Amino acid sequence: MSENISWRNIQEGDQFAFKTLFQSTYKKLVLTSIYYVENTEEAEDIVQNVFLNLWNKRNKLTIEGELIAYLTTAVRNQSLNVLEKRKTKKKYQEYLSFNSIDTNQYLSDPFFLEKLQNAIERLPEKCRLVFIKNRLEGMKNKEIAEELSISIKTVENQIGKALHLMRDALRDYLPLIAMAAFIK
Amino acid sequence: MLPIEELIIKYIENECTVVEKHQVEDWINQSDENRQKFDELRTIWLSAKVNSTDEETAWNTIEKQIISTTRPAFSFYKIAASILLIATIGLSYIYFNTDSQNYFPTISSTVIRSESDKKEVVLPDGSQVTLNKNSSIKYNGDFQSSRKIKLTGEAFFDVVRDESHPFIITTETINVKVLGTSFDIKAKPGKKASVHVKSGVVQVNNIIDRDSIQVVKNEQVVVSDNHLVKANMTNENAFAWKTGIITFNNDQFSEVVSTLEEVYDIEIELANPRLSQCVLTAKFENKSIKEVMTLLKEIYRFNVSYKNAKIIVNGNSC
Repeated sequence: MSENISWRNIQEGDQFAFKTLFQSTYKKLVLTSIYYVENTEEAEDIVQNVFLNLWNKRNKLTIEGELIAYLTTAVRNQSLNVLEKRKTKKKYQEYLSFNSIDTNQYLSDPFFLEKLQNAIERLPEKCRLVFIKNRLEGMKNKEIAEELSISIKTVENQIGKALHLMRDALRDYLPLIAMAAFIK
Repeated sequence: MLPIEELIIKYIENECTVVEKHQVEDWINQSDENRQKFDELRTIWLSAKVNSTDEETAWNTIEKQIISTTRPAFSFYKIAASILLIATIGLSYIYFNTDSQNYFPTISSTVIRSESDKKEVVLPDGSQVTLNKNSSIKYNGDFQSSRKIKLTGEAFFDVVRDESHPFIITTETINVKVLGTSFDIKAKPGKKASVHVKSGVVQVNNIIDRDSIQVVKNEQVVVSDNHLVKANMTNENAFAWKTGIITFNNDQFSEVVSTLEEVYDIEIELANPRLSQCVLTAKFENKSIKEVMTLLKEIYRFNVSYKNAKIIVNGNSC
């Protein structure tokens, strides 16, 4: 984990240490970013930029405390910058910019993504298939409907059902984020 | 009203109608419990997508950029196998735009474009592409289950070997199938399509007459009158734009001019036709066109002038 990686090694140009840091924190940081920007590609770009900046500025940068804390803050700030520039924002996204809620409680659980994966695997057959095609393979509902010879309506139902079942399975692992009445 | 999960998904994905948007927001505002539920569903929905990301692929993208700041251009000769493809793609933009939906019936597509400079790209399967300026590649979906690419312009490919997923590059007139090798594709408008193989084996298919030819090391295929014609490789400067090394070996000036035009993407005019009889033996490494012209000027006592992005060479003879 990142705790074992010394900032000094990275400052000295140790690419292996840098790679280890990257690989052990990448998904977590993408999760952090996606919470704001709601788009995987953008989230990945943001995280990769943060790492590139970190590497390029390594000689000038003093990092106190844990690297993961620094990275999380940098990713969050960049995500908010991206959100700022958007023409259309949802109300809760504006809310996110102004309120520093701890969105990363669930991220402190290193097994969160594994639990999520398990929850996907335990979905009923058809539900799982449709969910994976939509969410992990990036197919459009229309394309899924055509491939499986079912209606788009059924595809949407199954995805909704999958999400419902996954929430039931994961509830205990999700933090209580009592969002304020942000949409008013 | 739809089940709330379905509505929330549409809401997050920006696919709601105005009415549905209000339904969701009203629902969220009804109670703390709803807000909590919204946040949980949203978190799961967004996080599920993260499971499809791959830190290994992401690292390759980063590594490329880190290395380029600490190491000079990558060595061409480290690559085990390579081919060069020159393909005509005069109408490729139109082709891409009209036919793409039918050609790849599923999933979103990714377009990567270079502008006034070369660009290095790492594909999701780890394969590396160097795009020459004003070029683009396009692929559909996640590139994992099917490795198909369309190209406009010119690119050098270093393909990760994966025999169960052949790597296929399509241009307007031909497609090239490789199992894992490095190769260079030139697909500029108005030029004859051709494939140059440095090493390894590549299969070239003619889209028009469905002819198919295997090309091996030091061979080339040219598309002439819509047919594939195989010959030994003659153009030793085929990779010059990528390597920065141009070699002339007793080459006539007409040949030299067309190579320089090709590599530097400029126009050169020999004001005196007799100059095309001149012969040159030289090796240029990472030289700008101005440096090349200055050297030629000194060797042959040419007059070199620059007019509107065109280089005019004048002189009596060699």
